[in-house]
Amino acid sequence: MPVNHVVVANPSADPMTVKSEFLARIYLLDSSISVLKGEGHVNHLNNILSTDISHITTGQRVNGLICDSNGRVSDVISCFELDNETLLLGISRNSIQTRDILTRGIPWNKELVLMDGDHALRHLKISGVDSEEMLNKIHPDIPPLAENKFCSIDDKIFSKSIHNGNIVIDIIVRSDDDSFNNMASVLGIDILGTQDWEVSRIRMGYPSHNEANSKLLPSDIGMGELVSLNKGCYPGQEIHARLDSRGSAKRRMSLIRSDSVILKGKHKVLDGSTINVTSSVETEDGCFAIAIAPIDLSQNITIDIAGAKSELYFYHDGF
Amino acid sequence: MGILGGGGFSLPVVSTIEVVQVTIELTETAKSALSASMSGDEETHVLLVSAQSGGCSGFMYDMAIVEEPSESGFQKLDYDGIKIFIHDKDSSMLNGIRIDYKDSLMGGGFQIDNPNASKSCGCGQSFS
Repeated sequence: MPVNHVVVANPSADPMTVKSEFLARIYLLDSSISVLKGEGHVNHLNNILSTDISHITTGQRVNGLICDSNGRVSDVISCFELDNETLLLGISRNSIQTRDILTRGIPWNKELVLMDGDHALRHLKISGVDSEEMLNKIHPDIPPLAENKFCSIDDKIFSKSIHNGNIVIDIIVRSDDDSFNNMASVLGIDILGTQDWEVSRIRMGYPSHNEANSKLLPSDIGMGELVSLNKGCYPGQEIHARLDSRGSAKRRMSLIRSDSVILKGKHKVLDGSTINVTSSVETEDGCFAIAIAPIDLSQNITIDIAGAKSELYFYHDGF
Repeated sequence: MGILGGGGFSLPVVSTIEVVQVTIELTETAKSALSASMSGDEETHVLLVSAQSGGCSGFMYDMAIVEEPSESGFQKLDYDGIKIFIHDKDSSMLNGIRIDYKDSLMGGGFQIDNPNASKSCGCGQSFS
């Protein structure tokens, strides 16, 4: 692999120009949708997730991680607590493994059932600076959404979260209910697909299978805050506790932008450090990529990736 | 009604449980320790070995001497009058385990060696 070089510092670059200043769009995602039902379902989930969800109550949403015993992230999950059941959104390509984990460890004397909602339910996402305004235009009856909660109206679930400073609204509807799509259509708002979401998620630093694939630690992908070190044992807890006690994170997820194609894979930069490009997408505004970079690499610099000048930004400070 | 409620709306159940015919190895020391623990209740009580989510490695063992369960779905093994029950749900994870007993003040007690485990945590109670 050729050694690439840091070319020149670019202190005038503004991360906001490549990150958040895009208008709201709606995406239809192919997320994995599951429902865990039965007595003790929260406790069962809590045994599996790196995140403490033991106190989740009806109407709450908690984002969590599933990690392997080496502490690497194998799925990123959003839990929506309904009445005696939890609706789980996960990464579609990880669904077989995640469902295997969720079903294999069910105690023999617990009647817990995991159900597959992939076909009967749909996951839509609104992201962009005016996400809430767009939602209010489509569905004026929705009250202001609060983080870590969700609102259930007309058999639809609406939930707001903030990721790297970006407002994201998750909407879950039944597949046979086109009312939301119809309302959007009347307003001339298109529902975009997974290819368009890929651009948005890379610009926001939202992990997908490329980042949550049992190779990277929670802190590597900006999800360190979803690890609860005081909840007791969970898969990966020993590793996370050791990392916490022995020092800070070594890598961080960063955004790369270039006018040329950014190839996935590992690239060396001048100081000998290596960045690992995990996701990459081409747009009219250039190529955007997610890279796992050494934490001491400065942001707003121009680097040379395989001969192409590229700018590197952090998704947010303290990440 | 809610997004999952209402008549005629149901979701398919995910079932990834693989059921295998379980064989286990019970060492002589484990057998002796179990006999002592059961203290004459071998007719009515069984050793129930199970696995469930938890622990640092993903799954945790559980062993308990209980009255013979009336529920179905158990595989019943007999070792010289000592009955060991393992539920079908846990059969693929526990097939082939070796149950030993170490008579030691430090780190003693029943121990499970599991050929299906790719990793165990330090205390030996959790595996993946």
